[in-house]
Amino acid sequence: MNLTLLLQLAVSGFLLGGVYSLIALGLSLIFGVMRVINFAHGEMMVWGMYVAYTILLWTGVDPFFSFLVSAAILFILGYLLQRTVVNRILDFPEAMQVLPLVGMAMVFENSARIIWGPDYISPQSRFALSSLSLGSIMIDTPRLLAFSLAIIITIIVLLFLKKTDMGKSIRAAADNRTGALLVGTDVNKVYAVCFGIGTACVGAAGGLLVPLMPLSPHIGAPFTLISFIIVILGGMGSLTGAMVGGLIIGVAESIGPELITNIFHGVGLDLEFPHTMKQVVSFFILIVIMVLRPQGLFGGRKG
Amino acid sequence: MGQIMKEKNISKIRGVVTNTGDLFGRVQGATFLKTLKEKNFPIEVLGHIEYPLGIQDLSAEVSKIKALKPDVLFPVARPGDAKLMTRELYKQRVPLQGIISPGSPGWYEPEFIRDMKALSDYVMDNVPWYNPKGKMYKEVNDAFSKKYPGKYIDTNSGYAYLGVLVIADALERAKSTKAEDIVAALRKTYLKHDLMVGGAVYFDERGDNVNADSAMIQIFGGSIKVVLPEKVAEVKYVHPMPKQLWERGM
Repeated sequence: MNLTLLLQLAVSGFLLGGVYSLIALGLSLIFGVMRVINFAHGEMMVWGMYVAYTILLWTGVDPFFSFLVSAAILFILGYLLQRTVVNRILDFPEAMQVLPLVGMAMVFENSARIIWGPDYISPQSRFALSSLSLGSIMIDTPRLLAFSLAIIITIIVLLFLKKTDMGKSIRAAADNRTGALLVGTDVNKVYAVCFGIGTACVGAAGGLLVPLMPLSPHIGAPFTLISFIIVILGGMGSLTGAMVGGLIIGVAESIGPELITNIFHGVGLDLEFPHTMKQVVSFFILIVIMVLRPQGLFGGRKG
Repeated sequence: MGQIMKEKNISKIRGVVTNTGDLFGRVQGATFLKTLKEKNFPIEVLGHIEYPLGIQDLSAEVSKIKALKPDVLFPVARPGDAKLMTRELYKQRVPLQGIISPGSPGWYEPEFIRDMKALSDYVMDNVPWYNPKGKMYKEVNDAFSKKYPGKYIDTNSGYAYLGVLVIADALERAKSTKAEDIVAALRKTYLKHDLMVGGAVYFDERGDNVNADSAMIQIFGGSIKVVLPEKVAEVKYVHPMPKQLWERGM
């Protein structure tokens, strides 16, 4: 067993898991408050990426600064989407809530294709190619920066929800919508702000991912899927669960194929666990958690 | 590869083969491995890594490549993963003598060269390609570049143009628009050209263009040059790469 390789994989996966957490945080927040699953989540993340890319192209400002603009623009888009589309479908049966949001995913994807074109783009940014050496372990600097900022954003969102009046209103509306209405809370506004915060989180995550991976309009859907896995794993609506779930999935996908191959070899089987099946590791963990703890790791608690 | 190894006095290459997990990638990767075995090439395959199409993180795969310590990487990639892989090879400081694709679009698409800049230099790819010494190629490319500034004839546009020539030739010989007459004319096609590398277009009983051939191309300073076969080569190939990816001042 190559321990250096496993350590390298664990470090890379852990750092990417932090960004996964931020992506899933928005989905979890929206679901926790409105009980609506945002099927356009990944596509909105791609918009966050393109906003940061456009700023980099026009002004040279690095995505590690312009992610704030991505978050702001995605907040506005999310706010408007909630007021114009999501608010109208809140009381619909769950199956009917899916269609408008899948439709919005298509709108986001194809409008990005029209505006920025279909090609993969890997823009040069200041930190895109930098890495730190820690003995034999290489630490990807943009990944480390993205991880650190993702953790900071998550803490800010948690503090916002706990300490501010709007945060308390969001939690009140999530706990009991009718009760919140009865005490005079403008629930529609609270929902719109909450949706905006959720999409701002994913917009920020998109900006942070620009130095890490090529942009293309169609890369959003897999991120929606991975967010689902993380949110279900952590517990639907639990922000702490999204954080921990993201880290688990990040590490599992990175280290899983190599670890399983080593286990095969350890028991005398000459088999390789293919990297094409690395998402199977995530789904396997998800199934195990669903069997042992159906509410997810942190389900039942409020984030 | 055989010619490069012979000329450079390399007795053995230790390589890692990677490919995308779609139909093209799997077939191309598997065929390359099969050919190495059948032709008894002195290339030791240390590992074969397949990853999903549309992957957004290749850090684990590149860490594994680094752990295997290959001389040469033989990747079958599309543009997105070719860029992702190049950046990861850079960031993880994977020392390589060469990146030589057995044939895949990721390494010669203009967007790869545009985004990777100096990191794309010295990458080799074995692909059906235009014949840079051909008269027809020069005429067509001049007209093409005039109409679409900054663009050039490559595998796709070159064969698309040749396809139109084949159809035009068949229609002229058939002197008819009936399907059976055109098919009969296509079966008798023998179209001489020097647009693409290879001989005259001629279809065998299975409909394969048996005289089609491939060239080894290599990127120098952001432009693609044919390096093999020698009779159509524009410049001499460079192997091993004179500078590692992270030594190129980016």
